Formats: sequence, structure tokens, C-alpha cells
Amino acid sequence: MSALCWGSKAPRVANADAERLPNELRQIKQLCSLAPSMEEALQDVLFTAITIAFFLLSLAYVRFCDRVR
Amino acid sequence: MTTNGWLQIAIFLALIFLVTKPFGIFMARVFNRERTFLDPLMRPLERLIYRLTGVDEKHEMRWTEYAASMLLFSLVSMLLLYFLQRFQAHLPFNPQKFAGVTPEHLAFNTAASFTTNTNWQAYSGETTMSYFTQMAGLAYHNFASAALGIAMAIAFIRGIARRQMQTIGNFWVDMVRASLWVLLPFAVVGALVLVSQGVVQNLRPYDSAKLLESQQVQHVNADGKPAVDASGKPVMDTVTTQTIAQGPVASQEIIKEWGTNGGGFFNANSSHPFENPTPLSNLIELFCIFAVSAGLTYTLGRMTNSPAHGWAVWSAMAILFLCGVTVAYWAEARGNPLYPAAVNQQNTTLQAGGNMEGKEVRFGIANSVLFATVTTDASCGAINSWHDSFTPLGGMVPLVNMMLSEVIFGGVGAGMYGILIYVVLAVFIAGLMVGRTPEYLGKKIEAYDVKMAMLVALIFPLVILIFTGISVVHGFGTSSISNPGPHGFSQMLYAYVSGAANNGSAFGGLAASTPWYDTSIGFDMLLGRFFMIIPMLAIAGNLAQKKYVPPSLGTFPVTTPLFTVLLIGTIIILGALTFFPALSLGPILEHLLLNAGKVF
Repeated sequence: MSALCWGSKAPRVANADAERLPNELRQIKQLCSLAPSMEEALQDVLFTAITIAFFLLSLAYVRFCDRVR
Repeated sequence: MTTNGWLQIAIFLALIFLVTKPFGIFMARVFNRERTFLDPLMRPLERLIYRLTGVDEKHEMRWTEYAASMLLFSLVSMLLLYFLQRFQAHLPFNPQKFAGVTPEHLAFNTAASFTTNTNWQAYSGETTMSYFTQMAGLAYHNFASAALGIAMAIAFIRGIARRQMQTIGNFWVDMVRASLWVLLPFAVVGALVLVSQGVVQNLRPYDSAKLLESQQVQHVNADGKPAVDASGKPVMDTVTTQTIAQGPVASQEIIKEWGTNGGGFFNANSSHPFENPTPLSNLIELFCIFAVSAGLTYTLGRMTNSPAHGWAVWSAMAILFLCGVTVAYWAEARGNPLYPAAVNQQNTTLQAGGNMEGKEVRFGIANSVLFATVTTDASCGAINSWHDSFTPLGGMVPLVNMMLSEVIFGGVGAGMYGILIYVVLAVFIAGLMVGRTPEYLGKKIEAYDVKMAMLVALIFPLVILIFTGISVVHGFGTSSISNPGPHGFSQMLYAYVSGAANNGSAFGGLAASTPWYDTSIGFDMLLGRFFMIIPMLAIAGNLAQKKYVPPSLGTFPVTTPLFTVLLIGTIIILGALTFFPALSLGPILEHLLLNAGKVF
């Protein structure tokens, strides 16, 4: 999961707090703290994908320009 | 307008004229693999790079392979910069402990921006980027994107010069030679010269200075908005210290100008005293912006065995430059017509006069408009004044310069291949007028060449006008402008023109770091760069295959003043008239309303 937390500024659950909380609350808090990281990771994937897609489109444009006569 | 101001403009142009031939010869020798004074130093380094990367320097590429290599290189470079920004919190040289760049659309925008030589900055460098990101990410791209532009121009020139050949050179070799011979040595020497003028260069954490007198400033909430109390009064903080941002500035500053990148280390760019501290540093920066591009005109002439043609192209560029700087100087020196007569806007020994809003007092009107004209003639985008604060007509000059596809000397390489597209179209038009197959330096210009030239000519306005149109009719576009009315429209138009032209300067009143603007300007920059380069390379590849046709009585000479006039006419008709309706809604309307006494 750490790989999904790239550059995340989301607050983490402090261990001492976590031990005092009931299980359900702890799970909710953990989910809340992970949500922004997951979102950031997904956005990283998205922007990587659209960057690659753009350059693939550019390669197709090279082929188009080579073929059109 | 003052004699002193005109003298400074004349000295600048004279310097550019003087450097054109020697630097043009130097670059021709570099790319023809002839001996230069830098060979003893650079040739071993070049061989080492080829050995490490497995590049065969004797391998020649067809235009499609050349283009594919260029795209692959740019893709990898762009992704590297994206993740460098995102991971900067875990990387060294981060004394301010900056987190990874967020939001992600900003990181995408910045990666696209520096990959395309645009350097549009929707962030403040000193509060966002670590020293490592500035050096290994941004400054690296300042070299790489500039080298790429030069490589493209050289490939095009080879296409014109070669006869019955399938290839236009080797992309990797051109990149290495552009970096090692044309960019790196001059950047090293130039950085040292800038340091001598007071540009900072260190890796220290920011200093904190105690103010002589404490200041009251409005508190800013976590959401970035000014704080007010329950009764609506501003909540004030007392400030007793000031953070002094610094870092490896000189090394980035010089390549920012030499490679016509334009991305400042600081948000204030070249108006910041740590980036541009003295009148001499200002002149050096101006000189660096035009030097390579001016030299490339002579390289064109030398590599095609027609130096007079190179000078004809240079003349067209110089005339258009002088037209731009004259209009901008007149408009800014004239001042604001709405000020009451009691406000003295005249130039005196005590004040610069004219419209000084958004301008540095130490640069005055002349050097501000000169910088604004030069930076938008080239695809640089560095600024030493606030273009958004120019008068409507003064601000229209940078806008028009970019709308002409930045071919007035232009970006390193980009200006050359940009104007060669106009040359192809000018020669084609001349051929139509005399009823003969157009020829350009012994090559027949045929249907395929004109089709590709039109693809280049059309993609540029298409991208700009579509994105601007969407921004104008949606809240996510209009919510970012700081002025309603025509100036707000100009802010949006300027952003997309600057992006597609790979300039990077802005009408700074536009709050551009939003998901819409970051993403759309990101694509605007990518399309403006690569979708123009690809058909240009196709023309180069096609020209290289053609037979040489000796000039005849019917050949339109491309070395005469008539050619220069025709080239200027083609640039203005194709470039400016495409955008005339948009200009009418923006700066022209704003100018008319201002003179009628209406402001927004």
C-alpha cells in the first residue's frame, strides 16, 4: 500500500490513538486516511495513461503523414 | 518614447546582427561534423555518450524513424519529470521539505510544459519545487527541449539541402551535438557571468531576515482566502521576519534564456532581483533569447549554400521584430488615457513616465517592452514585467507575436522550422501567381509539401480557438479570470495562445491552476509542439528525396527584398488574420472601450 501513498500529505492514524479505538472506528479512520492516497495514486495512473495515449496518438499521426499523398 | 530607450533597442538589435554570422557558421560546422574549437573537449564526451547508450552515430534515419525517436524521447522525459515532482519529498536537495507536487493535474501540466519547451508555470517555483526538481527535472528539460528544437530545425534544413536521399540525419546524434556544442558550454560560461552580476547560486535552505519594521498583513486561511472576522473586518497578522528564497538560480537562469525556455526559478521570473539583478544581466538575458535563433538563419543559408537566403529570412524577422517593439513602446510610453491631467505621465529625469503598472522601476518602459517583445517573438516566455498590466494595445503585441507562431527569430529551432513552413507557403503562393511549379532552393514544392504545411498552419489556431471557446462558455473557464469584459477574454485567449505556441508567458490575472486549465493547457502545449513538428518533419523527409532543379528564368528568387516582403505578407495574412476576430473581442475592443472611458 505504501506505493499507493506517493507524495500523499494525508494524515496517518497515530498508533497510540489506534490502539484505544474500537475496531470499527479504527477501520473507518484507516479507510479515511487511505482514501486520499488511493485517489492520488489513481490520478497518477490516469495522467500516466493519458500521457502515453497522447504519444501513441502522435505515432499514429506520423504514420498518417507518411501515408497521405 | 525616449532617445535613450531607442538607443538601447538599437544596441540590442546590433548585437543580434553581429552574432548571427559567427554563431551560424559555428552551428553549421557542428551539425555538418566539421571541426570546431570545442571538439577537443566535447568529442571524447560525445563518443562516451554513444558508447554508453549504444547509439551508432553513422546510422541515418528516415523522417518517420527520426520522428518516432523524438516522440519516444519526449514521452520518457515527460513521465520522468511527472514522477520526479510527485516523489520530490523522498529525494535529496529538499531543504525546505517540500511535499510531492499536488494536485496531480498541476504535475501533469508542468511535465507537459517543460517537455514542450513552453515552461508555462501554474505554480510558484520557490514554494513548490525542491532544488532537486528544479535542477534534475526542470533545468534538465530546459536543455533537452531546447536541443530537441534545434535538432528539428537542423533536420528540416538537411531536408532542403540534401538531394535524392531518404534520410534526414540521426535524432540522437543531433540531440547530443546540440546539447554538448550549442547549449552546455554557453550555459556554463553564461551562468558564471550572471553570478558575477549578482544572480544567486547555492543549495542553502532559505534564509530568514528580521524586518527593520514589523508589517501588518491580512491573515490567509487554510483555503488560501483572506481571513475576516464575524463583523467582516480583515484579520491581521503582524509580520516581523521575511523568508528569503534562494537556490541554484544562475544555472537555471542562463539556460532559461539560451534555450528559450522561460521558466523562472522564482514566481516573479526575470523581474526578481536574484534572477535579473542589473541592466547588464537584463541585456545578457535578452541577447541569449535571440542568439541561437538568429544564428540558425545563417546556418540555413550556409547549409543550403545560399547565405543570401539566410539573410533574407533574418531581415523578415528583424522587420517584424521592429514593428512589434515600436507598437508596444508607443502604447506603453503613452500611458493611461483615463488618468486625470493632474497625473504626470511624462518621462522626466525622476520617473520613467507612461504606463508603469506592473513594470520594474529599474527597467522602465523601454526595457520592459523590449523584453516583452523579445520573449514572445521567441518561444521563451520569461518576463521582466507583468504583461497583464500592459495597455490593451501594448499587451496585444506579445499576443500577436505568439499568434504568428513565434517565427520572429522564434524559439531555438522552433522559430527556424516555423518560418520555413511560412517560406514553403510563400514560395507556393508566388508559384501560383506566376503560373509555374514553385521551387525552393532547387526543390519543387508539390502537393504533399503544401498539404503538410497546411496541417502545421491549421493545427495551431484550431487548438487555441477550440480550447478558448470552451473556456469562454463554461463556468470552469470564466471563474478563473480576474477581469470581466474583453480583458478577461484576453486572459483566456493569451493562456491558450501561449500554450500552443510553447511560449509560457501569461496574462497573470488568470488563476490557471485549476483542473480544467492545467489539463487543457497541458494538451494545448503537447498538440502545439508535436502535432506541428510531425508534418514539418514529413516535409523535410519529402524534400530530401527530391532531385535538384537548377534555377531558371521562372524561378522565384528567395534571396531578394521582394522575397522578404512576400514572406512578411504571408506570415501576417496567415498568422494574424486567422486570429483577427479573437483579437477584436479582446485587446482591440478593450482599447476602444478604454478610450471611450469604460473600464471593468
